[in-house]
Amino acid sequence: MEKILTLGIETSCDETAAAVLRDGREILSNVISTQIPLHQKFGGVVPELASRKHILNIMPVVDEAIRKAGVELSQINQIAVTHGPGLVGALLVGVAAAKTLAFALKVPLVAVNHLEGHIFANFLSAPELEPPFLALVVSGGHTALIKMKTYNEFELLGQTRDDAAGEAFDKIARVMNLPYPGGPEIDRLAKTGNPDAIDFPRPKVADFDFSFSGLKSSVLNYLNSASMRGEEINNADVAASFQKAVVDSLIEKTLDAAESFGLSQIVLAGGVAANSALEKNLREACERRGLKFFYPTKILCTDNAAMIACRGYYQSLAKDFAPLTLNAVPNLNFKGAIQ
Amino acid sequence: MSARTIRGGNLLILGIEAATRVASAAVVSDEKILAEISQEARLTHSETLLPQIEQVLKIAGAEKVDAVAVSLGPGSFTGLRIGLATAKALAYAWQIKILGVPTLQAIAFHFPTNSVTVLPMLDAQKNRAYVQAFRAGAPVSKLEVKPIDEIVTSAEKIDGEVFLCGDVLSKIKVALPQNVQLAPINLRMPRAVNVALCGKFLLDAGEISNVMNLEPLYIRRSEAEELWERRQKLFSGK
Repeated sequence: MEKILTLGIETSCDETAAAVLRDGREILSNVISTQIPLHQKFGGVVPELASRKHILNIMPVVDEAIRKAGVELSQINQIAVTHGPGLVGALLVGVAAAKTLAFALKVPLVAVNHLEGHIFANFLSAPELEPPFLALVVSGGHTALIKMKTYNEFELLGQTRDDAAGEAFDKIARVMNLPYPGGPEIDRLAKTGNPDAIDFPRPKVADFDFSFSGLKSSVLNYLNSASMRGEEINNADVAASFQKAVVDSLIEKTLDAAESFGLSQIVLAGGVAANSALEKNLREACERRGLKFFYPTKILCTDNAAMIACRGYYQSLAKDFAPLTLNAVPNLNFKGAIQ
Repeated sequence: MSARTIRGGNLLILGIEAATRVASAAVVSDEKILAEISQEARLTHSETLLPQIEQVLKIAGAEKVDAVAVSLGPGSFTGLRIGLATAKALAYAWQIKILGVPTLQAIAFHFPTNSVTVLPMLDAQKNRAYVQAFRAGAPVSKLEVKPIDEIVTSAEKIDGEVFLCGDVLSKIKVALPQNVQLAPINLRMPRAVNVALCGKFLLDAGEISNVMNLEPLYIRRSEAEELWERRQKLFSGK
């Protein structure tokens, strides 16, 4: 049978990305144009500037993905695009471009949930991985435990009741005057700190839900009161202790869920998956319990279009196509995807 | 130079307009408007624009077009980007020319005469408008951002009859000077057919845009940038 070429497009936040995938797992190209330097002086992503960069970069990025893949645009069989969650103005650039390419090339369009895309990044870095498995998705806006039954059937087991883990990282990094993006900065700083120096509270939430706002407030209170007393703060110890509290809570829930649902494969996904302590500790915890641990390569952890093309490919097998009226859904959640 | 010298037969141009609440698509050939669909409804351009394009192409009996003309702004930032992303993807996939049309000029194409001055005004937020004066479709002033009522009042100084167009006419709070009137509603808002015709002039003049780096005419910077600059000035004491 002839192999399917999927063009993936991703513009949900501050990366303009396009990729070409052959069938479900073979990456022919994976182009990412990052905007991080543009947003740095503002201390966070400025939505209007992100959108302006996307409309400028969208065609060069798509063109580069096609050329690097060594294919012709006319050979593309289908187009997969992120339609949420994300920044609405940013999403709309990718959605409009993808819909129009699908229309002009007369090929099907697939609407992909960005968070599902993060899980599917694991299929690209681990060819042997197959459902069922448990996925821990940790990103700037989401923290969730998902049971993947098949490629197209998910169950949301739990998610954060307030802040996402990534949000807490960003907020604390900002208060500590670390440059944007804050997550990797805390990770870097934590490597030189003592994770047991400060005993920040571990969030206690029922079932498989998470909560990080209490922990975040407690770290902020610690920083504020220390600075009011004029005490010297050891930033590395704060970063390490805070990071350990987050990681401990993520790992505990993940292991509980794996046991409750009898799942022997654990998949880590999302932007915060790039956090080295989370990856290392979860890997070790899985090894101790005899669970198989999967984790995407660094480039597939960040926002990219290869994972979107991969998710889109498996949706297309279930004939899950989108109409030309497709709109961006900035607050799209996992729930909408459960069929 | 006429478009026919570029290519024999009928040259088809697709016009795309999404700068305001009007979503509009049109196909024009050398001497005919083959199809146009315009709507000013509550639906978002993201949902309506591409189906409209599909429809006008079908009505025009065209599989493809020779060029795509797109309204570049100023206007709603998001609307401009939906229109431009759509136009870029068509130009890229079909390997056709892309023509960037200034939105205010496209509106001014409603009045193809030297005997009146047209002032298209488009919402620039905070009771201000993007404005530029045109006669016979050609600009006779610079594009500016000015308070709406100030634009209306100072139009008194313009020689002869003045028509006000655009999407801020309901926000005018001052009396219209004697020489000034509101354009009738069919000539107020931008339409894709005007964009396509304006695009044809650009094509004839060889003013073809680059699909790889074309950007909307934002005129205004983002709020975050303005704020950041004000802060920098404050701290540097300038």
